[in-house]
Amino acid sequence: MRHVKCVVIGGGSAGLAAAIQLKKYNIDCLLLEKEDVLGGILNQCIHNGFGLTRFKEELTGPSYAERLVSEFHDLGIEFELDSTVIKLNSDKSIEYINPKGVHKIQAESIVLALGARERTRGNIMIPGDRSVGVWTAGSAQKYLNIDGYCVGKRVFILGSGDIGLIMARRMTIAKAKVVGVAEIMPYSNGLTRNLVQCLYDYDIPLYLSTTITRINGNGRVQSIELSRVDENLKPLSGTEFNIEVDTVLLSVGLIPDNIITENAGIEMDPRTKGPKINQYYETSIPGIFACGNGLHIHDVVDFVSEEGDMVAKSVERYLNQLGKSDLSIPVNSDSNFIYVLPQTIDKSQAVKLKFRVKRPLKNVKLVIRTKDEIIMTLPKTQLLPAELEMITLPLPLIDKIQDEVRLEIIA
Amino acid sequence: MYDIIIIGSGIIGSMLAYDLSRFNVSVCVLEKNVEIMNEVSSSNSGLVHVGYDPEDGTLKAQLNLIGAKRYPQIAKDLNVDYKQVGSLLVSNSMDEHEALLKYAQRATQRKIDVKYIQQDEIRRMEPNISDSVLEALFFPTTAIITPWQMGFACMNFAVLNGVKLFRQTKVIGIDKNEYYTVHTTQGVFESKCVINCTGLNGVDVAKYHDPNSKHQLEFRKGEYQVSDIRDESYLNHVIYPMPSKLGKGVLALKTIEGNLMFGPTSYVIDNRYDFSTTVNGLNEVDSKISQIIKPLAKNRMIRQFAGVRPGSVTKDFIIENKDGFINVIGIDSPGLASAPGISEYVIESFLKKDFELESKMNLVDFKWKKHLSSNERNELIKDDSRYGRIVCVCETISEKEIMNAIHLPVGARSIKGVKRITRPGSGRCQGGFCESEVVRILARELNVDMKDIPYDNDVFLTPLGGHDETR
Repeated sequence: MRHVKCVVIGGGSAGLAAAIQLKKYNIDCLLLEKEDVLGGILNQCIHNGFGLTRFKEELTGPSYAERLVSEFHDLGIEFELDSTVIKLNSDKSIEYINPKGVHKIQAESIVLALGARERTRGNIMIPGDRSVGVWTAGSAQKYLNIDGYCVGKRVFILGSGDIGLIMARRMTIAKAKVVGVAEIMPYSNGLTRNLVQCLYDYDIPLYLSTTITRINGNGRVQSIELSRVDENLKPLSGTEFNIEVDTVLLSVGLIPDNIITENAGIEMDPRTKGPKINQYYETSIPGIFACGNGLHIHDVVDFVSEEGDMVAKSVERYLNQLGKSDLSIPVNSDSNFIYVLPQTIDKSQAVKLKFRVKRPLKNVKLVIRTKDEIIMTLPKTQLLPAELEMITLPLPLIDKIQDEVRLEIIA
Repeated sequence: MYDIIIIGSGIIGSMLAYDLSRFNVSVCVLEKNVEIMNEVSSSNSGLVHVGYDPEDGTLKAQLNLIGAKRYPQIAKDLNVDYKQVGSLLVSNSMDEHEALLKYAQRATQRKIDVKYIQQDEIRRMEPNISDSVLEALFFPTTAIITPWQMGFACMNFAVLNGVKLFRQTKVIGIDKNEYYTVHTTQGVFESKCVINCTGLNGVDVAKYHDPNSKHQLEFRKGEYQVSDIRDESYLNHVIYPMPSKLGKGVLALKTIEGNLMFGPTSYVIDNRYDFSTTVNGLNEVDSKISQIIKPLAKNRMIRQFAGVRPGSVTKDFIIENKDGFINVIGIDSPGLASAPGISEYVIESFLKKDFELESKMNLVDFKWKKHLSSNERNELIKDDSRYGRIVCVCETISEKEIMNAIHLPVGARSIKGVKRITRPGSGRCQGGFCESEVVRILARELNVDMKDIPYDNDVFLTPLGGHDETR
């Protein structure tokens, strides 16, 4: 069986960054990509807005990917395309399929850069007819931007996440009529710039606290029934109204795609839907690391790549057995948070905490405490679920930590 | 001129085509949809019930037993999936004790393997059984199949052995002179005998032959929920609640591929093509399933669907021969389990009297291509690298397997057809990643534009279907 120092699974914005950084640490790696081209989902994201942090300029998705891919090729990193990993084992052996055969290799370390998949109609159980014309926003984006087919004429979009907003604009440019966007929450989950540039600029109505309660149409979609929802997100009877459309696009959330991770027996976090990690992005199996949208869902690709960079550093640390620590201090949070990463830390170095809140919060204090002692208080004028927050705990504060780190929000 | 025209290619039509293709009669099958196995036969529990519940003296009781007995051999001959997983008929209250004993007794009379088991053993066999389950009957021979795989395999065998299949050919009238003349949207077909196995449209087609036909169907909708295959270990057996007058009840099972499936509800509906799911229906599945197994997390569900069962108001199958016009209608549960029995019955009771059925020599073998193991795949890649180009990551399906599905004798013509035959789109992403690639392969192999690939009958990628000029 072939031995490899490090295998990177996934050739998108996280995996490419990780592989590039690994090469810079002189670590030989093999990158496996399931598609026939590197770059991942960026290839179908032809709009701009990428790269402001990483490349200090505004790029389209394919240009952002191209930057990473050309650096990757310049460094002569080994990769295989059309390669689908079917099994990840806890001993860090990997089975994958590609047009050359079914292969098994032994890795010394593994970087999971698996990306995410979209929630489907079945996941959120929209009742109604079994109509054709219901796609996830990303599938419609692929049909339009890769294959050149606009899948709808009169389109309704459920979910005001960024992909939904981007597709509202994209379908409009492709001469479809986007009749509206519905969001079950009382606020949009997209970035403000996308709300302005993709909806307001095109006069596309946004229905807040509203969801689709039925899809109608034997054969093609003919109409949808929308309902207002109460504070528990339950549809309010009597508020139903119908809109005639031929297509429904769903932008109702991304799920880190972790089937091989789960099957390997790696501990998962039900909140992120990704693996649990320590501050080195290391999963419950030593030597297996995770980053990017396969770890948790990001809103900006630059931070996806940054996680790739960080993971490479951890792989180097792992392979050279630097500073091994058995200390595992849990990072917890109160009910205002969807999640906080990492799930555990040791006390050896500064830690970047990443978190998302459950609902928009204004003029609050973010408190970081350990046992009874508050170690940091940060005033926050605004916290939004749509925006991933990051704060660094410097070493002097880390020293104060006892058996727990806890994030809380106080008014 | 054919000897026999079969109208409808659900499981009954497909099974009849399979059985008849082994005799020296000329047979054609008329199907109105673009794909076979498209309506009642594709939306059901996929179970080969052992046959303890139909009432004594009914065709259902008689033919379920024969069907269940025939399936293992058919599955072996065609290399299709058939798995005797066994089932538990569970009771939740002592009120159901008498009924449980009645079914045990009936099973024994019908020579069906059955064992009475109590709580400890139930929990050992099925750790996620509901706490309220008190006692159960264990039927080791209950089996699961994938209905459309069975039907497709039967029809492929039939077509390879001389049966003619005409798709998108809807029957619009039937005349009887010396022979039967069947008028369709694709022209006229003639035969000595017609078999009506048209499921939802059984009575309408029966009336084409005999306008005074008094048969009446009642359509029952059943809603289901399907989980991701990663929960495969959650359940080992089929779990049935106690049957009621509404049918077998909301049951839990694991499909051949490992998805958990819960359902069906049972409601009489007016519109026989109402395959919609409803809030109430899905909630009912949730609440009823929790009486037999511990609930599975909601976010594990990847799909919901509904099936429609055309039952006769007489509560039994209607199988009759009127002067060479054979009605096989009112085939609701246990229709799938009974299909091989129904086919045998039609041949033995009617066709053998009207035709000199002689077995053909030199039958062409047909073996279904099952899902590949890694070793099998590795071998195949040596000859064709496209076996190694995975298109559907969720279910591990390669480009070549999709091509094979299209190029079968009865091959896929639609996205739905590809999905049924080889499963891309059935997994947790529900086609989100692979659908456009499936369409691209279909378009390439059938030499048409992507926008002209149907999802199903007359429904295409773009809303204007095959006529969209605006691309």
